[in-house]
Amino acid sequence: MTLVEPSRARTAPPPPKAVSPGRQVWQMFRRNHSAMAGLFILLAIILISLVGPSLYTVNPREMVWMPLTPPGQSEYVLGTDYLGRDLLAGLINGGRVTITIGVFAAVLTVLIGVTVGAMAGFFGGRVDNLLMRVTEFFQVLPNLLFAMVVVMLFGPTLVNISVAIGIVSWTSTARLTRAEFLRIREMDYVKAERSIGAGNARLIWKVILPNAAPPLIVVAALSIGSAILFEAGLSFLGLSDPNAMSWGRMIGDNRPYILDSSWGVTFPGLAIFLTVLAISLVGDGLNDAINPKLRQRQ
Amino acid sequence: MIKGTLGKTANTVILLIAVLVLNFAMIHVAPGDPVEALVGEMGGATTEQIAELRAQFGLDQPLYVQIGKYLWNVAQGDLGYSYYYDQPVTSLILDRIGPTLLLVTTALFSAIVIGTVLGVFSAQRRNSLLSHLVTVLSLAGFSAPVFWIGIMLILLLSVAIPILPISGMTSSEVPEGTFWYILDVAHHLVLPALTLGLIYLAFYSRLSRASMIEVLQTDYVRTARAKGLPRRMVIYKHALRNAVLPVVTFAGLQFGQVISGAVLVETVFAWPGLGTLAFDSILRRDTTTLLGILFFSALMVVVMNILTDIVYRRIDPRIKTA
Amino acid sequence: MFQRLSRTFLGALPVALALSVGAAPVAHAEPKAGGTLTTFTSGYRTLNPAVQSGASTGSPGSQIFAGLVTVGQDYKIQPYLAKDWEVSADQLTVTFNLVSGAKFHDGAPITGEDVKFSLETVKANHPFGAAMFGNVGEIDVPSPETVVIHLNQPVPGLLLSMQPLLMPILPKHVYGDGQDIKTHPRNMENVVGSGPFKVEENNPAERLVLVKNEDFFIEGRPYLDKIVYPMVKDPLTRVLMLEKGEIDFAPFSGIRPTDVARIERAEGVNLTTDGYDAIGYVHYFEMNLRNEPFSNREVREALAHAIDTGFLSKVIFGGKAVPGTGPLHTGNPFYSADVPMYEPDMDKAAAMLDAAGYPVKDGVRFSFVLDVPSWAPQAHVPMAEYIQAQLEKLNIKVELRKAPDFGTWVQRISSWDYEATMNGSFNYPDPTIGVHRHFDCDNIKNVIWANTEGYCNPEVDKLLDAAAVEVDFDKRKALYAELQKTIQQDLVFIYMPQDFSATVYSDAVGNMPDTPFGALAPMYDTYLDK
Repeated sequence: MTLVEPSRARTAPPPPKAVSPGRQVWQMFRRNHSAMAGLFILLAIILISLVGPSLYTVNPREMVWMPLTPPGQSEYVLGTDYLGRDLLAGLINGGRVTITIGVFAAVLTVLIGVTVGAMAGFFGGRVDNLLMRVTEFFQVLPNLLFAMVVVMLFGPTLVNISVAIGIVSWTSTARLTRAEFLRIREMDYVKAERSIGAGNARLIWKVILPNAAPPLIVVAALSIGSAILFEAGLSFLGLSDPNAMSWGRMIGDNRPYILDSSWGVTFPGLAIFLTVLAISLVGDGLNDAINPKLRQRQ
Repeated sequence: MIKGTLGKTANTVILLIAVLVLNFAMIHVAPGDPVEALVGEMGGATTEQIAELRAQFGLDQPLYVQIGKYLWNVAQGDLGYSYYYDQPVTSLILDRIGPTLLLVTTALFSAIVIGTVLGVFSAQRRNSLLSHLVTVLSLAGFSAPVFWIGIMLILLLSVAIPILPISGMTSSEVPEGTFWYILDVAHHLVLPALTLGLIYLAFYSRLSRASMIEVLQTDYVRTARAKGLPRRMVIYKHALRNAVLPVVTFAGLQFGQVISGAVLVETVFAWPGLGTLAFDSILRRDTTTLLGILFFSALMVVVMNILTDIVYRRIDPRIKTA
Repeated sequence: MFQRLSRTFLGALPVALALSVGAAPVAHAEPKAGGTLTTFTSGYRTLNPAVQSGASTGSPGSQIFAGLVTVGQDYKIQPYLAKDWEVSADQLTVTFNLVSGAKFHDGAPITGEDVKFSLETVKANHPFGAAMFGNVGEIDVPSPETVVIHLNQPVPGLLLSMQPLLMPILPKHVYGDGQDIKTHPRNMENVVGSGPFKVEENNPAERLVLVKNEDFFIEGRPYLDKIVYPMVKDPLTRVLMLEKGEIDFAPFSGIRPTDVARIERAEGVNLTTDGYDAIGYVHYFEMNLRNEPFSNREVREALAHAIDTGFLSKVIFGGKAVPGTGPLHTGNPFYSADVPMYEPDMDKAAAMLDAAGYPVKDGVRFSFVLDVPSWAPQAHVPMAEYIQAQLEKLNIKVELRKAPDFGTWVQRISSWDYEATMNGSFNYPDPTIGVHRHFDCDNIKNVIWANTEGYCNPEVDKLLDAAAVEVDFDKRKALYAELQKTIQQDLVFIYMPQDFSATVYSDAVGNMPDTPFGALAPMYDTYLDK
């Protein structure tokens, strides 16, 4: 659940485009120290995941050393897991998988959420009613449990896991989008566009959506974080792709051995923690930079 | 108003039927079925034994007949029979709901109380140490996987400093006497409740802080203060009441999602609740139990939504019945 | 074997003498009556071993229900509910004489009719019913204490199957009410047994409590007042509880080889791998022999050279798991070590694959999906991960497919819709139960743990048919030796390290059940010396 709410207090039409809004947001963002720290951590993690595997070439699946070797006691600096696989190699390669699933699931979440919310908010009436019923339906389903069932039934592949996360996560985005659309739909400039004959498609995608975008961007950023946590949870329960090393899976795999090797769960857990923390910091920073009401307050 | 209530009720019923039908169809269309799982558990069976079991479970009938029968039974309060546990699903769920409610209520209630207090105080002094602490805590709580927090707490409080039991709800030898029994359960409850509570705490302290900040800036609070009302009275009488509204909403929502929320923590601590039951029934393809739990949790969400609505109305005088 | 045993036991042995044969691993003073033995369960779906094989039901089941005989050290058959028995010269009639005055837990007498009912029930409902008792014909009950079993053909393993794990004596007046026994409510509620312990509390989510049956038909037994099985599913918790001594006796402890050192360090706690021979839990890499590339024996041989099971057992299983050499478990009475072996040699494997028509093309020789079932992850996951990494070096791409639940995996394998899978099965002491099923041409069926790989060799069939009715132990052993050689020669499966099964027990446990059936045998001799 995210804490971004529709910016309902805004009454004025968007500011004239003297300074580009992107630049304005960046200027605000840059002044926020924790947000910048988050951004740097995030970029570093992404960089490691991208180029790490070609620099550090140990195969994360290969059993290279005695199982459960503590950190610093072999050439494998972070130690080995319960099968004698290199933890560092696992972390570097696992990041790629974890982040990919996170991004893919977040894209799906936003795509479904925004489409449903935009349709409901824009057309109103029966369309709204129907789509809101559908949204309610998905809200009533127990999210983690339902995702578990989907992954179990259709197999734990990277795609299925991302889709399962997307399916159970989009409802709050839809509600937010709908609220924004309901509000902006009544604005003068939208009415003006409509009066000069703009079609529905243009109104939805070209006129209203860009104005509804700011809170949605924040939601999108934060939902990468929650998707990563979600994936970790599924992996921990054993619902992970056995051919791909992910951080959540590393925790799940090594959990039965924590009495003899706490490092096997500590490192991947820290990796998840750092990544999601960085995303949260960036998301919060974006929120502060974008939401003018908050800006006033500070 | 009666019409509105009727409409809402009809909506709810349709919603629940939809949940049943979708879950049923999805689970039954997928490859593998409970008979195969059961046969595996039994250690194998002959082709004839398999066919016989399938007929006994009604799995040889067309899907729509199976769905129809299932809906009819659910309408009569019968969630089916678990062949794995050899028990009616309803009694299985009722057996397991207690531990889950105990865990989630303890965690949620403490988190709401502590979280609201922290949030409200930190909102008044936004640059104080407390305020920063709340921000850091809630960020950390948001970013760490709940099961990882659980494992780390086990490593700390059960292994390094062994003062709390590592898992389960009671000791292997249950102490005699009600008092000692309660104490034993409480001892086992600390770690899982703390784990789940930390996540909730992160959420509620942040939520109440944000909503308090917002309320403090509204016109009517400013007016009240301008009128010279004492600060405390303004905060506790006017502001707090409004700041608590989102807390109530989310508490209702989260309470509805107890089972999902508890799956991971129950698994880490082997807590004998609905979450572990759900997980087991997934692993065993115990479809009747699984369907029962999915339906039951949908029912919980619906009921909690209605309750939240009622509480909301009592707190917020502005809402009038539609 | 049958003949040897029947020779030995044709003259009835007094019950008391037979009991003294029980093993005593730790030197204790006189057995003491009383005390509560704490063990554990990881969950069971029924308490009735007549409809469910395996340890979770069998370990309490053998305490609740009696059998006609028990199996002692070295597979010696000992009297139990049957005080003696006679085998006809043609090996086709077996007459059991029951002890007098035996009663079910509800006070009803145990009669020959109950024995007959139990045998018929097991034959029709137990997964191994047909394998064990398929050749049983008419059963006569000339008097309440006599049962006569007529066989269509000699059944060498008949007596081995007459112990409570496989043939529990059920009350006919409870289960004979026409309801399907597989889902009979009395399998879990108000269970009426015939054995040394009665069910006091049955709450599968939390605990099972058994109490002493005061009216047990063996005088002065059982020693224990109570056996408590708390539900401990989580292996981590189990290890900690064992270490702290919270569990007195943990058969099928589920501890991993890496935990052994922890347990051995703990004060007053011991570990043994005895008591698992009769179950004979073997693991193997199963290939679908119907399709390329596994239909090619040379490919299978190359894989056998590539997969170093010695490494697996030494490094991954910490030297605690014995490498398997064929279809029979090393603890089986018919085991033979004289089989072809394939030494680890990656170069040889590569050369063989080249020769077999699988050269490296675009970096890959071939690829296949390896199914990993969910029911023995502690064994199968490491094995599968090892095979994947190892074959990658030979440019064979292995895609692991983990079945999320039992049913999905069973469906794939039993419909033969798979390329390769990790698998494992129980031998049970008589190979007709647990071994024949995998290799018999007639058993190529859509049934799990049948001949799912599709192996058919007329020579092997002849061996199996001969061994099934051979009553001379040595001749039978020779037949099985030949079978093991042929199976390894044909590389039907690639055998992995055998299961690491261990019992953890405290110093206080006396007369630990360490016969071949271990904790799956009745524990009326076990006592506590605390």
